[in-house]
Amino acid sequence: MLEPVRMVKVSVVGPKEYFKRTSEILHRLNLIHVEDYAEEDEYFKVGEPFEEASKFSKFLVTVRSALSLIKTDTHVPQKIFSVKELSEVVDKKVEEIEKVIGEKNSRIRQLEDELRSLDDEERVIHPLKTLKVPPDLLKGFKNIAVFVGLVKDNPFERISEITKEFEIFVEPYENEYVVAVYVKKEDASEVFKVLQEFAFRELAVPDVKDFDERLKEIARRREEIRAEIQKLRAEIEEYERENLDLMLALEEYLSIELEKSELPLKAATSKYAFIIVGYVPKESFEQFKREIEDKTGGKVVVSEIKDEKWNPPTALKNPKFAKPFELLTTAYGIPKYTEVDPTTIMAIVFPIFFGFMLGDIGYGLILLFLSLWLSKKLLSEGWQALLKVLLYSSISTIIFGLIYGEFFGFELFGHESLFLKLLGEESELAKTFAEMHPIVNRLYEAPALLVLTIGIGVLHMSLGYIFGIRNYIKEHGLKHAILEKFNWLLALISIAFIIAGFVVNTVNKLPAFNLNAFYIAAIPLIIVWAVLTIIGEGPMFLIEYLTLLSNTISYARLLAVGLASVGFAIAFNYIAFELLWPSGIAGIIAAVIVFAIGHFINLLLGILDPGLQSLRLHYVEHFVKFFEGGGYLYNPFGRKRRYTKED
Amino acid sequence: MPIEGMVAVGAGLAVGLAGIGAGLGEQGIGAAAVGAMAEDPTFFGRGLLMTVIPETIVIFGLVVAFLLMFM
Repeated sequence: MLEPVRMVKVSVVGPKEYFKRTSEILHRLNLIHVEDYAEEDEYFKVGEPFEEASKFSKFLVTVRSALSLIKTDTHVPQKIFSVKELSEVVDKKVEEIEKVIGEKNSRIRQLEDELRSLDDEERVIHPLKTLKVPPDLLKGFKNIAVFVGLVKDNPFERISEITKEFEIFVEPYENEYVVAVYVKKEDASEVFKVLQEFAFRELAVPDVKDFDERLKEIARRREEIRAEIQKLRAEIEEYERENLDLMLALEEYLSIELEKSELPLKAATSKYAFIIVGYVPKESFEQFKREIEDKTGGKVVVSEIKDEKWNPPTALKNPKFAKPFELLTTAYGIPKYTEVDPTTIMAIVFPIFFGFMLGDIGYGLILLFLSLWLSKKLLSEGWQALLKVLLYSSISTIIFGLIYGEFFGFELFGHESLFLKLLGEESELAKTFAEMHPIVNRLYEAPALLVLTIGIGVLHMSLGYIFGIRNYIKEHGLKHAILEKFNWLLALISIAFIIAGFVVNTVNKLPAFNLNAFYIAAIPLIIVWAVLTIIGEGPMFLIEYLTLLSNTISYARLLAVGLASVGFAIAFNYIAFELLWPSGIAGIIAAVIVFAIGHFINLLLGILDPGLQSLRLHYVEHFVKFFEGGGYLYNPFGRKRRYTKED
Repeated sequence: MPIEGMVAVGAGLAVGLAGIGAGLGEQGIGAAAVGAMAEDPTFFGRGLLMTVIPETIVIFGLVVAFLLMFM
């Protein structure tokens, strides 16, 4: 929590005969983040993959291309295959897959080619048919040249200027003309030139007896082809469905074997030895060392190394409830190994901000059901995380809805209670609710809430600076932490005092800048801040005080977004109620439509806006105070098996 | 014209004009941020951050409106 997992840098050294064995063990342990070896020298070179790598990668291509034809991501395996079992059948099975699916696929491709050529032929026959000349008269003369094709205009006049001995058939066809021009062979080149002026495009006359017959034949053949393709596709799908467990298992098995056999690409190897360098979580180091040394009889040695090239990966470590929020943290940046990981804090504050803004029992309930329903439908990891975030936010929305006493923009308590409107003044239930008051009424207590939001902002940003101080102490030492982070914490507190002084004066109906205790308390803070800043960052940075002020006021959006949403809801409710009372059925229908559409739009905005604004307050106001990012994620050598198991 | 009316108009102008200003500011930054994100999706966080920087102006407008209306 708040800090990435502690790592140690290790080297794994052993004789080459044990390399394959070590690769097996490392993959099974799934602990070491291997650092690529890049600096080749006289003795050490980047290793070569084990010899079976090329076979595995070829097999993998076959299996993956077969799997790409079918949807697999939501498949739950019925049978888990053992590695031993798979290693025995892999050659035969991959061959079978290639045979069954590969052959069917190439047949499908062949048929699709034929379909395309049929289409082309049909495109030629349609214009030719309009000429009403039988196909055998459109070509194949000894002394006469025939030009058949499409032209932009009727070329009769221009051809007759060249020769009188010709025959022409012209028919209009889709904004153009189809022509068949018969001329003597010696005039052919002249006539061709003329035709080119009319943008002549030749139509190749197919070898057929009769155009209509041929068209019918084409249509029949097309049906046949389509039916066959469909049949082949169905067969492929059936084969895959029957063998899906096995195919997924094979894919996983082959991927893992390939990973293992390509480990040498990341290692340094000499003639007789290999070295792998990487990072292992500190808590697992002992186990890691023991496992490897035991299983290789002490031939492969694991040792901790301490050198200046210390750049460990970041493995985020958060309690289970905060895990989904890692998505939001890493969207901003991956914390460096030395930095604070703010995910857990965000997991608490983000939903509170969201609820503070939306705060409505009705909307909260809809979001709650929506997130529960969608989490059954959208199973990908990213969606699951996002829906968890929405789930927490919706619960917080309901709680704040109870505090504000709002239900779809209606007030539940007080003299404007929804129950009064629905049940009438006499109803006992309505009276009880009318006598109660919400804990906070957002509309009437807006100024107080405004001050509250600023207070929340000061606390939230102070936390950011505290994290910043901690990061700076770790990375640059105490002096820098005081000169570059602590001074800004003082500035923030002075801003809080100034705002408090202003509020006190306003409440007491005094002039805004009348000197009071808060203003006086702010003065020493500002002096200390200014001195520290000038020493640490230079006088130019004094201007940043205004940025901090605007950051503080920025938290007013917590109230503003909420009020906008309430305003929308009230407006739609008002229109709906106005429509409902005076008129009959039509009024009721109109009221229901207005109510539904209005609240639908408002709810849509109600997910987007509080979500984005809450995210923004974290990214812009909170993270900037301490979060630099630029780390890289811990990605251990190994993987979790889903479809296969080890013996 | 009664002074309350003028105050309401002033509050409206404070939010509305600030909104226009923020919108004008954000359009260029937003376009550039989307472009950068198309090149490199990990830019999302920083892109969002930079895009929403001018938004604070609206909050200033809003706070002014509040002070006008309630205090």
